[in-house]
Amino acid sequence: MDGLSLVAEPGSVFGLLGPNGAGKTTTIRMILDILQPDSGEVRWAGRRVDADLRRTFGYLPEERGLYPKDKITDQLLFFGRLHGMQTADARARMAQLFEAFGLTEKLSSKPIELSKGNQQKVQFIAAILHRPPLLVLDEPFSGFDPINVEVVKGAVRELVAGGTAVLLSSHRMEQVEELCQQICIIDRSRAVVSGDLREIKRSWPDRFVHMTALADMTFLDRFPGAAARTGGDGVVAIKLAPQTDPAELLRAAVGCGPVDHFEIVEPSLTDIYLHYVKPEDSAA
Amino acid sequence: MSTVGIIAIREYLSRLRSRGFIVGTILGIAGIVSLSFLAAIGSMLAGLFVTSIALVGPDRQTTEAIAQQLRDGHKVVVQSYASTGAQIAPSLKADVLKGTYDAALIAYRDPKAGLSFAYYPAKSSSLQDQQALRQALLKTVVAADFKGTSLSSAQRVLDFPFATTDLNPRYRNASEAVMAQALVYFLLLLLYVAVIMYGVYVGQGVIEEKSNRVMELMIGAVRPAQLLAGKIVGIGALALTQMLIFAAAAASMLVLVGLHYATSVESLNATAPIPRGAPLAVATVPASTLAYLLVFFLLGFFSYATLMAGVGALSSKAEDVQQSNGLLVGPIVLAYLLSIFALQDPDKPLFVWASLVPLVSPMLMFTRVATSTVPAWQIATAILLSLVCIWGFTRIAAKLYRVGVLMYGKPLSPKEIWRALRAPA
Repeated sequence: MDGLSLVAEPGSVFGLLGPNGAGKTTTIRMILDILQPDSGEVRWAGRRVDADLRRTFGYLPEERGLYPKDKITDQLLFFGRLHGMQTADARARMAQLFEAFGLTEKLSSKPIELSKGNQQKVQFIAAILHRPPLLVLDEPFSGFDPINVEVVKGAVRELVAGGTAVLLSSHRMEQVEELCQQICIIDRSRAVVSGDLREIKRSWPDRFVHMTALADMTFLDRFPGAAARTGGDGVVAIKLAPQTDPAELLRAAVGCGPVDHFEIVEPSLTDIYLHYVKPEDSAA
Repeated sequence: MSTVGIIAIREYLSRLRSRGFIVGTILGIAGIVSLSFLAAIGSMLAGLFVTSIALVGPDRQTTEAIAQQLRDGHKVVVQSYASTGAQIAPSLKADVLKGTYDAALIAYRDPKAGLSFAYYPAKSSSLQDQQALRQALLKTVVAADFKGTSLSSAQRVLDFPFATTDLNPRYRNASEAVMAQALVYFLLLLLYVAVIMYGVYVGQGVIEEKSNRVMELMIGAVRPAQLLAGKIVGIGALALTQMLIFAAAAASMLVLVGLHYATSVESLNATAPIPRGAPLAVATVPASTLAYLLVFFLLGFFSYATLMAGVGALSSKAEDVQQSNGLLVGPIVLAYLLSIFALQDPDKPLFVWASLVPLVSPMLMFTRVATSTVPAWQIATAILLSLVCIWGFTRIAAKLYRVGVLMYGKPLSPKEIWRALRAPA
C-alpha cells in the first residue's frame, strides 16, 4: 500500500472498494495487525493497535471456514474465549444471536450438517459474538441468498446503531451504497477517492440522467462527452459532461420519440467506481 | 486462560473425541491384551507339545530315577519295573501307535553293557527329542552303573560345579538381563511409533486451520505462533494420554497374566517348560527407566513435532505434508537402528557420541540409560542439546507458519522462506 490513510468512525459503516488485487485484503490485514506496514501506523481510539486491542476486533474474512466436524456451539465458545469472553457470557450471547439468525434448532449441529447459508451465518456470528467495537467484513454477502443478505444487513445496521464501527469491503456496489456513509476506493495500492459518500456524490462534476430508452438514441451524438448505459428495465443511464444542460438533452430526446421517464440523478457508486477504476486495472 | 491454553484444550478435546483416536486407542488396548495373552497361550501350547513317554524300567529305584530326570520337559508315565530286554511289548507298541503316548522308552540291564535304553518314538517331534533324552539320561546311567562304589570320578566330572556371576551391576542374573533388554526394546519400539505417529499428527494438524480456512477467522484473535504452540501442546497432551491408557492396559494385563503365570507355574511345573522370568519382568524395570522414558519421549516428541510443524507450515495440502514427513522419518529410523545395535553394547564410542546428538538422542540415550550406567554429564548434554534444538525448531516453525499460514495454493519459494527466517519473531 502506498500512502493510504482512512478513518472509520464508531456508529458508521466505512466501505473499502477496489478491483481484485488492488490491496483491500492487505489493508485489512494491516488493520488487524496480521501484516506490518513498512511505515505508518494503525490506531484505534487513539491507541496503537496491539495484540490486546486487536483481540477485541471482529473479523469476517472473505475466505472463511469452520472446523467441519466440531459442534458449532463448541467452536463459537472457542472463538469467544479467544476473543477474551467468559464461557457463561459467550453462551448467553450465542443463544441470543442464534435466535436472531433463526438458527436455534441448529445449536448442536456440526458445520458439515448445515447448508452453506447457515454456515455463513455461523461465521458471521463468530465475528460479532464478542461485541467488537470494530467489525471488519470482507465480502460478507458472498454465498448468501437475497433473504439472508437482508438478515445480515439488518444485523450490521443494528450493530452500527449500537456504536460499532464497521469496515466493509465488497464488490457488491448496491450493498455498499446502501450501508456505507464513508468510502475509499483503492486502485493499484493507492486511494483514488476517499471520504463521505454523499459529499462525493454531491460534488461530482458529471451530470447523470435516467430516461426511457428510445429506439433511436442518435441524438446523444450532439452532446460531446455523453455516454449511455442501457439497463434491462427499459431505462438508460446517461452520463453528461459537466457543462451540458440536462434540459437541452430532454428537448433533444423528446424530438426523437415519447419520453415517459426523465430524471436527473446523483452518480451511482458504480458510476464513481467506473470513473476511477479502468477495466485493465482489474486483476480478475 | 492464555490463548495458547485455549487452543491447546480445543486441540486436545476435539482430537480426544474424534473417532480415529477412540478406535486407535481401543485397537491399541486390544493389541496389548492379545499380546499378553499370546505369552500365556504360547506356554499353554508349549504344554500341549510336551512329549509323553511311556517308561519301562529294570527296577523301581532306577526307573524312578530315570523318570525324575525326564520329567523336566517330558510327561513320563511309568508302565512297569520289570524290563527284560530292548523289545517293546505288543500292547505298549499298540498304545504308542494309537497315540496314547508319543514314545516308549525301555530301560534294561544288559549283562555286558550295563544300563541300556531302547527308544520307540512314533512322531517325528519325539524322534528329534532323542539327543535331549541322551543328555538327560547320562547322569542316571552313571549313577546306576557305579552304584555301591565310592563316589566315582565320572560322577564328579558330571556334577562339576558351575556357577555364573554376572558382573553387570544392573542385573542380578543373566535371565534378568535378557528380560530387561527385551523390555527396553519394547519401550524403544513404543517410543519410535509414538514419536512418528504424534509427530505426523502435528505436521498435519498445523495445516488443518489452513485447509479449512478457520485460520482466517481466528487470525484476528490469535498469533500464528500461539496457534502453533497450542497445537503442539494439545497434541503432546493427547499423545501422553494415549500412552498412559496403553501403559495402564499393559500394567493391568501384566498383573493379570502374572497371576495366571504364578498359578500355572505351580500346576504345570512338572510338564511344561514355563519361562519363569516372565512375570518377574515388571519388577525388573526400574522406576528411573520409566522416568527416562517419559523425559525422552517428551524430548523426542517435541523435537520432531516442531520440525514437522515447520514443514507443515510450508505446505497447504495434507498430501504435501505426507511427502515431506517421509523425509523427516529418516533421522527417526537412523536413531531406532542405532538404538537396536546399542542394546548389545551401549557404551561403544559411536553410540556414546551419537547419543548426544539431537533428534537421535531421545531414542539412543534412552537405550543407553536403560541398559548401562551412563555418566550424568552425557545425559545432561543430550537433554540440553535437545532442548536447544526444540527451541530453534520452534522459532523457525513459528516464522514459517506466520508467512505460510495465509498463503494458499502456491508453496513458498526458497527466497520467501529465507526472508521469513530472517524476519524478527
